[in-house]
Amino acid sequence: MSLGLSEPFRELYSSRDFVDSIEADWLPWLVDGLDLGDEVVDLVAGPGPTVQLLRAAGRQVTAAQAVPALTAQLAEQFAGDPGVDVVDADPRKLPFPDGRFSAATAVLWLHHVPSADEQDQALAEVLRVLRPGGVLAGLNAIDGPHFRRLDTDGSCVPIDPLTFAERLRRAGFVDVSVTVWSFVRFIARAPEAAR
Amino acid sequence: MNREHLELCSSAEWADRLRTELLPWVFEAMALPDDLLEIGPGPGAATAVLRERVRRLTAVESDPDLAARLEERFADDPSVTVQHADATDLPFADGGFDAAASFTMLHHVPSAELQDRLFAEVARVLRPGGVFFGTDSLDGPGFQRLHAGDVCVPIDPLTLDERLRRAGFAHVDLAVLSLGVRFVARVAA
Repeated sequence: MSLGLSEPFRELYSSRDFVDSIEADWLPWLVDGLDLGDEVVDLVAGPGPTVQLLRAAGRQVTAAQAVPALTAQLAEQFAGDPGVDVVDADPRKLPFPDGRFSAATAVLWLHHVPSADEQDQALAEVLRVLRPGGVLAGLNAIDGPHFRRLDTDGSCVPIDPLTFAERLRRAGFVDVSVTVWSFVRFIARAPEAAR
Repeated sequence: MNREHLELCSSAEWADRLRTELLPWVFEAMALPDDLLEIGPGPGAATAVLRERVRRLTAVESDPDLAARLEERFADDPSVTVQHADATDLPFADGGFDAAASFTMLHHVPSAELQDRLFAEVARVLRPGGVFFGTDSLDGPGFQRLHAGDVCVPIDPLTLDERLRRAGFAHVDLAVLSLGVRFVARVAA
């Protein structure tokens, strides 16, 4: 299983301007002050800017790709880099054992999971593959006219920023922090084992 | 406001976006009253749309130059009254307005304390059951570049509900789109 992608979204994710703006404006804000530990999974790596950032910081990265349209691009980008493992993975059912990762990043894809229930299932899967105390850090897009123009096949379910913290807590995360800018930043932790 | 920003707020593009995207989103949430107080119209992009839809519009602008220009712009419309005044200290009696509105202006009020005082002042001049509605922009890198050197205190959508309630509003309804945060807040009937 994989995530569908409308043609305009595909074009957006392949555009240099978009990737540049994610790299320059948004990822530094996302990871500012976070300790991601030694083994990070970037969920739905898409065109790969988060993987790039994590590699630049010297981390071992598993790039979980769920968008076949972008897989070849990603594989080519990191060909020959032993620090990146590109894996096909559906975010609703991750092919990783429990507690494998010190951190997970999730940048601008949750709206491509086509129902709120499946989105919640994806959040529960992230929690499962994190170690106790592991960090989830991500960005969500916000619904609006621009978003709707991109979603030509109606496959997206945008995330309401006003209720997202509650959804993370319901999925079992603790220390949840949500910040609403023109993208929404969320940072949360898997509970410590003793909790 | 820096010049680039004032130019944007005065531009045809911004007026068009207000008319076609932002204001329709607001009108979805509520019916406009007869009598409306607009807080901080700036160059008047929203004023131009609102005056076609209400019977009486009072526009309060704190910047003397902008207020003078607004007065000139709407001089031939008897339904519009422009008043140069500070929205954190409104020159109106209690309970005189059906409704008040502000569009992408709150972040120009230079501190959270003054924003809260503005909310309380608006609540004071609304009649029982009256409504304060509008929008404000979301913070972000582009927003910060646009406001370089400006007074800019963005509104956090996640704390706005509580702030409006503390200022005296009994019912608050919020929504967030990429257009910004939309609020509809009512004082008790």
